[in-house]
Amino acid sequence: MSSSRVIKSFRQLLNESKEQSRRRVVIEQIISAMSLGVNLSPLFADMVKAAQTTDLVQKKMIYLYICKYAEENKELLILSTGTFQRDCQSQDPLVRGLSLRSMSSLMNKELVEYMAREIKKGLMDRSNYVRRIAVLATVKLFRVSPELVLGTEIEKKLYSMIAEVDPYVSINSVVALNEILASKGGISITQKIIIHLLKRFHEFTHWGQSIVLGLVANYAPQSEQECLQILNLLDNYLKSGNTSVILAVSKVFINLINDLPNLRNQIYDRIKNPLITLVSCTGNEMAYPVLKHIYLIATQLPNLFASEASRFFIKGSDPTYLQEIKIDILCEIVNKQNFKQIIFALASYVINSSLNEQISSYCIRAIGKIASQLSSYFDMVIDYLMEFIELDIPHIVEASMIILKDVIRLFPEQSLEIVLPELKRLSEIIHTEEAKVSLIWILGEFGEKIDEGPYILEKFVETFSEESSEKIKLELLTSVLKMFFKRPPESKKMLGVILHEATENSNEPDVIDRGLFYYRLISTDINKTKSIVLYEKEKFTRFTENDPLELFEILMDEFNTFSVVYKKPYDQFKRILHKNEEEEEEEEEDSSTDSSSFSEEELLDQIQQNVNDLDINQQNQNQQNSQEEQEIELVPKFNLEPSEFQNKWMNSSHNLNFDFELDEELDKESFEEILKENNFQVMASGLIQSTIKIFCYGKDISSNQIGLFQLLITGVNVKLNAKGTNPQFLKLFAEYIATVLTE
Amino acid sequence: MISGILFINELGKVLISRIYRQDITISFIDQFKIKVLAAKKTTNPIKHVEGTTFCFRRIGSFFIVAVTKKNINAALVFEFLNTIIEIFKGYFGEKFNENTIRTNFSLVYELLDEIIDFGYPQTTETDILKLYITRENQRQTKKSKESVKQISIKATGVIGWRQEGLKYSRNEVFLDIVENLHFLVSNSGKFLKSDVFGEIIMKSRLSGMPDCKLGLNDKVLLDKRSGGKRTKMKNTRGGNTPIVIDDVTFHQCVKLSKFDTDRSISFVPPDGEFQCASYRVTENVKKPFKVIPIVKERGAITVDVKVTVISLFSENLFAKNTVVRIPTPPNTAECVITTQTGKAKYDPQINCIVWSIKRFQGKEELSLSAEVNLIRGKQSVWSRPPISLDFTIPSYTSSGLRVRYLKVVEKSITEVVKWVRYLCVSKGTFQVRI
Repeated sequence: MSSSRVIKSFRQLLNESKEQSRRRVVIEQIISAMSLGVNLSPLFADMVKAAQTTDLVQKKMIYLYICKYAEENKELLILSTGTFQRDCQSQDPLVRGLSLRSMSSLMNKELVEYMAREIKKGLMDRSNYVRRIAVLATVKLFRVSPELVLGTEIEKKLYSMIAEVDPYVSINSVVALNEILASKGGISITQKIIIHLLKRFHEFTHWGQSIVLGLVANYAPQSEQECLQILNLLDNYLKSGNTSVILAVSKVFINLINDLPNLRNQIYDRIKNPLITLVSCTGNEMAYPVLKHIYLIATQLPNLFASEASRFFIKGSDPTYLQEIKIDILCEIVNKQNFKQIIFALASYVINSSLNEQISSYCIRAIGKIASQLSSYFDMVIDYLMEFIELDIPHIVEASMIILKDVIRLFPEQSLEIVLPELKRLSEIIHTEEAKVSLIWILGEFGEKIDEGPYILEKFVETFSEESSEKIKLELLTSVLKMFFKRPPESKKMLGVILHEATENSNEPDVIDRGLFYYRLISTDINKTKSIVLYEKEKFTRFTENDPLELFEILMDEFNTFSVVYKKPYDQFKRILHKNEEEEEEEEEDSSTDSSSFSEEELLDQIQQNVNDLDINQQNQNQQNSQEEQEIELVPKFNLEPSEFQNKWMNSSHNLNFDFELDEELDKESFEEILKENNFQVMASGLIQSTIKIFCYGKDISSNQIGLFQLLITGVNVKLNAKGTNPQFLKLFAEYIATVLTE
Repeated sequence: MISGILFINELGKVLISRIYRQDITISFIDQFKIKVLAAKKTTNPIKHVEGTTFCFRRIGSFFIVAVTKKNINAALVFEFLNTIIEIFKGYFGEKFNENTIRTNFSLVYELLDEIIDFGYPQTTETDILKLYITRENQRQTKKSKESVKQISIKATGVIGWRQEGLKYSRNEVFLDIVENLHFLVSNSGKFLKSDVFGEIIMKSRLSGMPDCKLGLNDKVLLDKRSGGKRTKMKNTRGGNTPIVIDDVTFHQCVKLSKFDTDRSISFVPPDGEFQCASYRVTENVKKPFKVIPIVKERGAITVDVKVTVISLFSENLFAKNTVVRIPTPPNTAECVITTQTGKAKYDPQINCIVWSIKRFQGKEELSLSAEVNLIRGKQSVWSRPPISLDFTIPSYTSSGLRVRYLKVVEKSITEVVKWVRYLCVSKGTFQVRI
């Protein structure tokens, strides 16, 4: 089944169907095939011809089609202008609007003159439906040729249209001007405009209200009285049923604080309750950005929400992302009054088996953070941590041990009293890597204070040769050396043993290195070694660097945008955009633009046979299941012609992206060598700036599946794009490549 | 603004992609598949990939995704996605799915074109959309002059949510006050958390442009009425006991300025069903049930459980489909349960004794006792999660909120039939610590 046959049959159907109802069905079929990803571009001329229908439903679909394939049929586009123009004269405002919207959406340079003429007419149209479409069309015109809009009568007209009675036209004019004048900082906000918009605020839809509020937030009121007026007027809208409006009002209020500093607390009090209600009354998705905003406010005004701690307690039904942000908020709003309540809640989440591991570790970290904020309660925190360790649940022990270590670093004198007597017992019950590392660190740092300190370490040294974790070995080396300087008689022997083991019997280069380094240090100058190992540590009081006040201020300026959600000023994530646009352009030739994960062939069959898609998916899944156990082994000498490779690359039905990291950086030649050793054939390779790009392919022996790959390697980061006919195999292939390269 | 709206199924197949602004390419959509669908961890609903933001919501087996390159207001995007879903429900039924989308491609595109233009939301009121979406009136080959005129008037209308010229022979209003309880009670019966989330849902079939006025037993209002003096209210009628509403939000149609000046809720309602208001009450709320749990660990392998549930509401009322879930330790082997009323059994999947009572009369006391036998040897700590209750109590509100009056003023209406219903609901959100 080829696509040309489908096009042929569609063309035939279009020409043969004279009856309107039948034509409508045919066009519907075309639109549905288009949505599924079949390229129906060759039908362009036929569709333009069909556009001369009086049936609005058909017309809408045809215009949708024209907009989709206009790029590929530039030379035929001029054919359609006649239809567009005729429709712009239609009696029916719906047709006029549709035509104007579609024509302007083409954003085509060739049509710019027609576009400008119809838009000017549209701005004067007697129907407000057409006018509001014309207003937004001016932005599209501006994108194609700015000189036709900027500083012209259109710009003036738009300003005057803000005053129109129709709320949609009014709002769209604001929006259009804001976008057209973006380079000059957007629409010039005068007192007159603001007063006008606020006066009729209730007429606007929620979307319109959000836009107006955006303007008001940027407006600098001229007097304190004006500030108060705005405050009073918008206060009602904190009761709006729309989250977006409530957040936008909050933003206006926060901005007004600069003008009314003495009302600061009252203003925050006003927005507090609506925000809290939003958290529980909206869906999970909506609650997420709202919580992020509460978090931002809480970082600076912890007491505002302190009495409402229970609202941020997590529910078992909350998705992980909500649980995490709620815990973050709890950490911020903790104070002497709610401390017990919050710690108790966090502790109960840790041991609640219905919550996932990620959250219980997160809670333990939160408890540690709270300890660093409220030092007077650290002993309670330590009690909880000790309790968690007793539970002997690996991930809890791991997280608790790390936090315990941090708490000891913060309050050594007080906390050691509680922890030191327990060290021996802890050393017997702890099994996981990070937990052991923390314990060994504590022993090295403070172990001399208890009698059995060196002997606990010695126990670890005894099993040094069997230890598989490099981290533990390294920590142990350091701790033993520290102990040696503090309790030489008991530690001398074990230092000898461990240095010998590390330098003679280890396989890990880092361990050998550190062993040798210590050995040489000691043999050169023992006193200097002591001063190096037991240097005087500075005292510190907090771990987390507080977010600088500046960041908070920038984020408050960008309140009610993604900046708050990402906790980054817009500048930081905007820049990535430009960098990537360049990259994208470079890559455009290589990466297939086919977004559909099904091949055209499959799709055509699908349409023709009217096969339900779900069946196909199920089949795929069945196949996948049967192949799950297989492993990849490549045919040693398998060759593809460059043209064959290209052909397959363009037409593969499945596409898989896979990112992984290498253990170390390699150059282009070594990559190619590794690939060749493993029977991958390299098609082409090159170096673009610091990125290595390799095209290669391979064929699996048992299944005869062919996989095609593009590798983009920057430093240790590898982006793999794999193509082939079977998704399950692609995954195997990709994983295989990853293991080959990382090993 | 919004650059495009996508419908993508779980397998990463794009069902619908409507791109409004040319700042994103179709191929970039693949990033959504890689970063969200293929991701091992469930990500949050706002995903940033190289300067582009995907905001998404899952509906059944597919995702509806808004893509944008601008730094815009996330809440607006989600409100908009929710609105799209509501509109689609109106057109395709409550349970629209992939297949509905697939069989209605062109209608979906038509809708997506009317509700958003160049990335800016436009008309999203279902009532008004019907004027633009011609498919609905397929039977009329030529649109009547009347409706063309309507399109022009419509958009001018200050009242964007209601069509003019509606006529009903029987004018009816249904008010539903539904309260969802989020309670956490300590084992001694003390409130740890007492949130009542209520909504007032109105369903109306009214002619013309009716002005409605709704009166509640809101404390602020009633205090105001009595001239700010704290005169003692007569407690003869329940509706006059004033209650304190912590926070309230209204549908767009409610005149907020009026609410602010005299606390009256007046509005011209949209035709059909809509949520008029939602509110939150935390003070002086009533518990419909008192739960007395006794859990004793007898030795290492047995736990004795006795739970008594007492209904505190009037004996004229009853709770429907009450379910009490009593958690047991994770290493439970079996439970020997005795109870007089309802059905009870141990559900090993959720580690709970599930006790269901079809009809729970007011002022009644029921109890259940069980002997829980544990598997020996497995020594894990039991976190003792709370007991949770499901129930629905008709004609009861926990906050005590009552509708005092509903006035409908419209010259063409002579008589309005009004119905008010109250409902108190918990879906596992009424919890009692043990």
